[in-house]
Amino acid sequence: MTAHSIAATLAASARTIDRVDSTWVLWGVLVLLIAIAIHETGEYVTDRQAVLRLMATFGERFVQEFDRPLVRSLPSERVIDSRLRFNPDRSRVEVLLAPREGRVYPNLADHRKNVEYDVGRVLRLMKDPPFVPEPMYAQGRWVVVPFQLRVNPGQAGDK
Amino acid sequence: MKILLLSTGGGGGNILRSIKTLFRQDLAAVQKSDARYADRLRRAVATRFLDTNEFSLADVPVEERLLIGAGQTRHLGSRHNPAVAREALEESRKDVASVLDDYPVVVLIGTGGKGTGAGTMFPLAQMARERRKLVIPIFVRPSFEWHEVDKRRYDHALQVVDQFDAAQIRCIEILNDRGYSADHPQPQSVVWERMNLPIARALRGLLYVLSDLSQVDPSDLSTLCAGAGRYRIGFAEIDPANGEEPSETQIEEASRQCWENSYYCFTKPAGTSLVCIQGDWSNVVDGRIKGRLAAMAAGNAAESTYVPLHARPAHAPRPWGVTMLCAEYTGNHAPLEIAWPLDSRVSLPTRIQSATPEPVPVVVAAAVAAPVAPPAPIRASIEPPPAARTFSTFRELCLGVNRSDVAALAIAGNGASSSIPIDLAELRKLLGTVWFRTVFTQLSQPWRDRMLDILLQSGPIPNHVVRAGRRTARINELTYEELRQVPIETILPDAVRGDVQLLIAVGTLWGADAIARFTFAEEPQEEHSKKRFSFVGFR
Repeated sequence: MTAHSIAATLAASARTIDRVDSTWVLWGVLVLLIAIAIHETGEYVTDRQAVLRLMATFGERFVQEFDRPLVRSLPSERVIDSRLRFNPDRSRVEVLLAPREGRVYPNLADHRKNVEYDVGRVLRLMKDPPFVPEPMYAQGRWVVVPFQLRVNPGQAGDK
Repeated sequence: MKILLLSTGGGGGNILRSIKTLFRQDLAAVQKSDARYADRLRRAVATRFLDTNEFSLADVPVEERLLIGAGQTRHLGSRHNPAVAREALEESRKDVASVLDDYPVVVLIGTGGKGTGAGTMFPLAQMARERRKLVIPIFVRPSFEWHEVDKRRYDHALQVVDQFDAAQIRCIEILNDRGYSADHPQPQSVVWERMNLPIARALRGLLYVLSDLSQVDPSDLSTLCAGAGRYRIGFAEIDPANGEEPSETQIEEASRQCWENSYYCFTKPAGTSLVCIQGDWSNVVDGRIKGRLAAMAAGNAAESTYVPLHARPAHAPRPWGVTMLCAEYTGNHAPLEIAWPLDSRVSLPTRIQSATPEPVPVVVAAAVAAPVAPPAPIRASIEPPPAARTFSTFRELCLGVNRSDVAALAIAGNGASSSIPIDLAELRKLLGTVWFRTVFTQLSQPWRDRMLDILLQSGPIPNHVVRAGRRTARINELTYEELRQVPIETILPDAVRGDVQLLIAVGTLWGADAIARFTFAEEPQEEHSKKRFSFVGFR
């Protein structure tokens, strides 16, 4: 009885499947895949934008704090040029600093210690920022201060 | 009135040495034209070099040394540590305070480079301010870009400046960075002289206002110095040929030079500023200088915040020029309470009555702010008694006494039968000035009696209600000592303040008993209760 009823159910299902058009199945799979891709891309873009925002905020604040003691005598005048270079895939931001015309700071030729001190000072002021500094280097007239986004201990699998 | 130039630390000491040298050069020039004036200037300025390091003061006269922190530093320096210097100052606080107490005006000079200057500059200014001195701190922010110090010390110097701002103590901030110009390189000695010369020269202007006579009262200076912000000192020499007026170009150039001082940190519009013009030329020249300075101060602003206080000696020996102590406009501030002294002033040159073997120069000059061009000074030897000179007003006579005019001194010493009228309003104004207190000592008893009679006969003084300590009282109920505290501890409306200060001046000059001779008019009850309320609100 039992075996007979199972066989009947299977036969009915096979008949039902036979009646479905395979084209629709393929379309369904395609739509599903597109939805998954859109979802994933959206998440990727959102994450990337969040990282970029984080980097931009950090970079701008860093430059502002770096600049602050230097512009006190004439607040309307900037005394350094600055740029930010982002690499969100590698979670890396580079702050580029250079003296404006008539000024000599920052540079690594004769002010390396002062720049190192200043980077430390600014990071202390920013109170535990999510970026850690990496060795700085000179590129043309620019002093490049690279920062790496600190890996969240939970994400790294650290217990 | 004496000014104390107090340096702190090695850098401050170097600046003070330079200022002292420049001031001496000025004195040497003044000496040639007016020895008595030079002597007066010389005695009005005292210098002290404060340091933790005995060796750095080796070339300073012993009486000018002010070594601090024997226990803390063993006089070997603060080891480039501002905290050690601060503790050293704390250890020697009494010694430093006793020096400060002798001077109503303290020009404090220090740099933010290493230990002593950076550590003591602000506490010293605060100490002077607490003792109700008029303190002008000159603080040098060193350059790290040009490797005078490292960035860490530069940032510390910034913190010192922040302390001044937080405590609402105005200061001069010199930026050493501005002394380096790649386009126009200069030897360091030239740059330092350029930085220091305006300070040395401006001292003459400041001395004139404080210890000579002036349209600028010390209370005006108290307003100039109030509030946070920066000062800027400017100076320009004007050297016209004998008997000639300065040319337009000279005036233009001097005004510009006086206004611009690229070494100073000064970022806000100019507010109350002291302009002192010294030179025997016409009032047209004065007007042009004032006009040029006002135009530069106002700039393109729609509403100018520039409030000049003009001081103009009727007679000033060369070198001539214009000095300016300019304050940033940082809002309206209540004037500082400064303890202007009565006793520690510079004594005037000997009176005519004393036997002087050498001829004494007589200077006949126009009164201050005369509407017409002052005549050139006439010099003559005094052998017979001075020719009678007329002083049309009592103020003119006092001005003459203050500048040691022999004719004025003769009238002041006698004067019982003088026909010079004393105007009540003029007398009240004179009593409010510090320089008049010096003049008062030169006036004979009949003059003093006459002045007091005029004050007493001027009618009753409103018996204002004021706060004295924790209580509220009418002014006729207060002792002289209590009265003196009233304007210091309470902000008073102008009318009340004027009356209180008049009584204080009378008590100071004629003695406390003289106050009791005034009659007081009771104020209406309604007004009284309103005022009492307002005083409580002002506390």
